[in-house]
Amino acid sequence: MKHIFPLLCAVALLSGCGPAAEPVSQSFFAMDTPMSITAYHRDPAEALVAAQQAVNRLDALWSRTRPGSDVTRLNAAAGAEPVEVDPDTAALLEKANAAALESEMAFDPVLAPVMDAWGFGATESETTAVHRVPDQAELEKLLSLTRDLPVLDGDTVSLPIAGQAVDLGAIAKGAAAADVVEVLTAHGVDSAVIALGGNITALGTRPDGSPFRVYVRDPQGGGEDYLCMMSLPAGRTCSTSGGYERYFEANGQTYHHIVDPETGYPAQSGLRSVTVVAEDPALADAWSTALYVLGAEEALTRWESGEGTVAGMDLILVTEEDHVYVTQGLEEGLEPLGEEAGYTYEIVRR
Amino acid sequence: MTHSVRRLTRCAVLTALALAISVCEGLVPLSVLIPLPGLRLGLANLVTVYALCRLSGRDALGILVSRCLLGAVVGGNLTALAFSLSGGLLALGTMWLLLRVPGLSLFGVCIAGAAAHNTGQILAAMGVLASPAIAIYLAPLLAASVLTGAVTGAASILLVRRVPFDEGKP
Amino acid sequence: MRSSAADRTRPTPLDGLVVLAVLAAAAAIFYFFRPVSGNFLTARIVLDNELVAELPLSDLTEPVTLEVPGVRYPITVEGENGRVRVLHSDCPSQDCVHTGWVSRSGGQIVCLPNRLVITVTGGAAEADAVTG
Repeated sequence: MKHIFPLLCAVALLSGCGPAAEPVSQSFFAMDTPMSITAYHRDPAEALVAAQQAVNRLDALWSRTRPGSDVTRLNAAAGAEPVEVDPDTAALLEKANAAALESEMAFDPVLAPVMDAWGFGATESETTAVHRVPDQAELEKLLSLTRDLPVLDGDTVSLPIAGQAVDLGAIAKGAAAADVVEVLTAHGVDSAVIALGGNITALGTRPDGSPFRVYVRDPQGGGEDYLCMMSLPAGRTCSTSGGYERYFEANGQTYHHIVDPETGYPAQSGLRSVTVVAEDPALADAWSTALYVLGAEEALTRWESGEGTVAGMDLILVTEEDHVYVTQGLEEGLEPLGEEAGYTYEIVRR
Repeated sequence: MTHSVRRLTRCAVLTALALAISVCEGLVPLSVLIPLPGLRLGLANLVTVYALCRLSGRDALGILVSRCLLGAVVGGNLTALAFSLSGGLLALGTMWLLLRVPGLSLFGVCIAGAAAHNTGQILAAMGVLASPAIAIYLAPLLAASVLTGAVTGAASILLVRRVPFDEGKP
Repeated sequence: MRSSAADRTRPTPLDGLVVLAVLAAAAAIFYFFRPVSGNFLTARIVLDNELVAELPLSDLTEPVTLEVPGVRYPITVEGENGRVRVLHSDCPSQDCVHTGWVSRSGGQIVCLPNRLVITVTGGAAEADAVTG
């Protein structure tokens, strides 16, 4: 009889999950985007709360709109004085600088003044944004502020020119995923899907040992249209950038939100979307933007060269001709879903 | 000794034995070997089987209820009482019926008893936790009860044969 | 009480029948009580990090509409058997309305201005997440 109480406890503990542990999800908004973390674990509540707190902490450091954040203080002191920042901010800026240099500024962490001119900047959300097409003279002037990267000295950072502004929006969500992985692991969670606004990180595999599966959205379709489904190997992050995510129309033309730092205009690289699968979530995030700007040819050249950051990643490139390039690492478990919609698929090998 | 005193002492001894067995069983939980909530050998059922075979249904019921009440007092847990009573009563009823079926051995009776015990416990758990989803745990428990029932069945065959004191005879 | 069972020392064929019956019951229970999420699609409506409503999509026999309470821009969610959509929203971007019907497990409708997320869960989980 004595062990009936343990039965009660055990049943109560397990009641949320079937024989194959049911996942527990936590959904929240942070960094201006919906996020959700789904963990397969006996009792993941504490881990999920801690993970959300970790994201909120980084949001408070890296937000461009919150007064007192590292980025707000840094931007306010542009051209004037160096600013002491959190070590995490310094580390992210260093990573951002490296990605900017390697991508020849296709990824530009100080593009904010130009983005703001288009209305794609760090306003509270799309609702308050005012979109317009800036004239050439204005762009020229603003572009001059976007070519000098922040200067780091330990945890002290400075922006060389007054009027410059850092925006980590294209790398922060990825960087946050790395922290979430750390927090979940520390709490004993070894199987989880971390979705921070379109950046998906696989912590481990599904409980049955098979890799997590991810839909890639059809850049031209609606909510239920998918380009493909792919397997996301344990420990990898996929990140997608596409002009379809945010855009506005003016004078009969569509202007999307991924601005080419070279021209100051929305990137016209011939791509509809880029999905990057990488080990480092922050790099996946940053390079999906960079490769969208660089275009399919440059992306594949870098991948095929076998050298540099891009060579260590896997890519899905969707061109405006509806051709889909998928690098060989993603072949296994790839399920094309857009053939009826007119997409053709090609596995790229090296 | 008069008839009723004899009966009373027998029942008291068997109740004490049942209580001791179930406490001992708690010391060596089977669920350490097989992680299944609620899994147990159910040796205390032995006493119920014995009482059903050698005493009477009424005595078996008395022993069972006293054992459960005493166990709850010892363990100080009222929820546990609901669990053991619902499991025990269902097992008792099932075995009482099956003992009347010709052509069965104590193996079959005890297996059915073990299955009924688990069913009763899960029913109680569903009631206490107000969650019908718990029923899924009954499936592996039922499968396991074939084994645990066979073990207690074998033990009860020995017990019933070796300790054959019959009602009314010394 | 006399019982023929008490005198036997070996299992009988009828015992085998008992074993079969118990195993059959186990199989039946396993079949009927498989985790519910394996069979049923549910739309979870999460507003500003809080679950405000759940629509049991698989159980709906006729369309239902739901005015989500407490939103900044009034929004109406429509659910019918197996799928869900945002029927109408006063939000400026209208992305949620343009998303259309979502019926696959793992699918999502997001209304950023309202900080509202509708997630379809359950069913045969095809994908764990959506990127893009």
